[in-house]
Amino acid sequence: MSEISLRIDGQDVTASEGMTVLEAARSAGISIPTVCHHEKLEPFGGCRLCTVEAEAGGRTNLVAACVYPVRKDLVVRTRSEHIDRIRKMLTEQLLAHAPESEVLQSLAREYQADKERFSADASFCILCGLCVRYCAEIKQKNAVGFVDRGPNREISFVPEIAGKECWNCKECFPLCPTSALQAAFVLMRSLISPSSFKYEPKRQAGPESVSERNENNSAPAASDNVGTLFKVIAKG
Amino acid sequence: MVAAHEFRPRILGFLCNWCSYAGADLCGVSRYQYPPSIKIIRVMCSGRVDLEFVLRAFANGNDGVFMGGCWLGECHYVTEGNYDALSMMHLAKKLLAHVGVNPDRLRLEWVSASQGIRFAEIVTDFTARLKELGPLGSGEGMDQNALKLKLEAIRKLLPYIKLVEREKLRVRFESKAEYEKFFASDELNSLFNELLDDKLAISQIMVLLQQQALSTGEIADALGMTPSEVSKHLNSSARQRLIRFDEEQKRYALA
Repeated sequence: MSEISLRIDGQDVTASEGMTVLEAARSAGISIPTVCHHEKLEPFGGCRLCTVEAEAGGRTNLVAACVYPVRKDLVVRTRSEHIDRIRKMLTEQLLAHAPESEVLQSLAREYQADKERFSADASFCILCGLCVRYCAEIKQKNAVGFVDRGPNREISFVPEIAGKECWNCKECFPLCPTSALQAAFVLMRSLISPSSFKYEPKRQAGPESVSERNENNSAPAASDNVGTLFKVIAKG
Repeated sequence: MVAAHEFRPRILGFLCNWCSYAGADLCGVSRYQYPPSIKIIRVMCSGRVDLEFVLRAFANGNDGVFMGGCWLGECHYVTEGNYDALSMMHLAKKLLAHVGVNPDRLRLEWVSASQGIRFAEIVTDFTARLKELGPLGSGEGMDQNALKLKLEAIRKLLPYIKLVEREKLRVRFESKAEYEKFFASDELNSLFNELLDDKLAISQIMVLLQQQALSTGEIADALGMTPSEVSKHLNSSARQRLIRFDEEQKRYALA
């Protein structure tokens, strides 16, 4: 495998082909903040906190380090005023979902993000996809997945798989930077838990309503099973 | 003819060991009179009263639930459970109002150990208020069964509601007025609706479908929703594989 040399923050770094900028930077001991990244999983590029400036052929682009492959003579800057501003904004947006998350709070300290900047959002989930990808890639169970799209996107456990697999696994729980995964799990469990409650549909009580129905409907009403039965017997 | 049966409300009271229970005790010892409508359960702190207790009390047919605690700042524990009780009471009122129960049926008051007379006054006043409201369910013009179903749907969802409360709705203020302001704010209402509205509706549908498969119209009829709302929830819960459409019966059933 061929070696590629590039510059990250003024430091010469050699990386092998196919590595991402993030991997190259980490191998050289340069830290780039991430939320949705996990070494064992495929890069996702969801949170964009790893945004860096990449300069190649005289042009500078903002790229997500976790998905951008290394190139020869690439010049990467991991911190600049512009990047810090982007990361601050992204952190603030994520904090609107999960103000108490430790991962986000440490980012907020680093980039002076204000957790009150955006009004609190109802969903705790920051859609980092760690749980979904962990379940699909490592455990290969697909017990948790994304449902819906755009602003309605959320994580949801699949009851029939989760009922069998999740209780003894729960390996994705520590990965979640917020408590959204726990909430989704608890929600699914409480919804499918059988309750002892018996609902008796309300009777169309009152003499007037009964006579009214008999007048209006020539066919027997759905609830009038006995009547239907008698007719069937009479016919047979 | 026999005179019409007078409605006598049934109240379940949760009193904290250190203030309200002692206050009620003093009330008895001092022979203050109050209506015999309340049954008392002693708890160590008003913060011990769980949402589940309140909902179970209503599900069992009590017309009112009373909570008594120490005055703010006078809780006998460092955790200051009466603030938790206050915030739980507001959440419970929201949930009750959501299913159509008058939130006045739940009442939280501070009664100190020396306020025997205050306890008698509160119980008298609360009983009178409940008489105005009438029996639980019929006072609201709701079918008993529909009411029980709705309460059951909230109880089923309690683990989730508690988690949501911990993450999103937990606050600590100094005064009662600040709590009232917070729980009446638009921000809280929109948060509450986004977090719980759909979930509560889906929970109701799940309880309903547990016994038999039903069509959209039948579900809408039983829950007092419009068919379009129901079909929205049916769609989203079908996508989450909670329910499925049974082709043979042409009805929705649990997955």
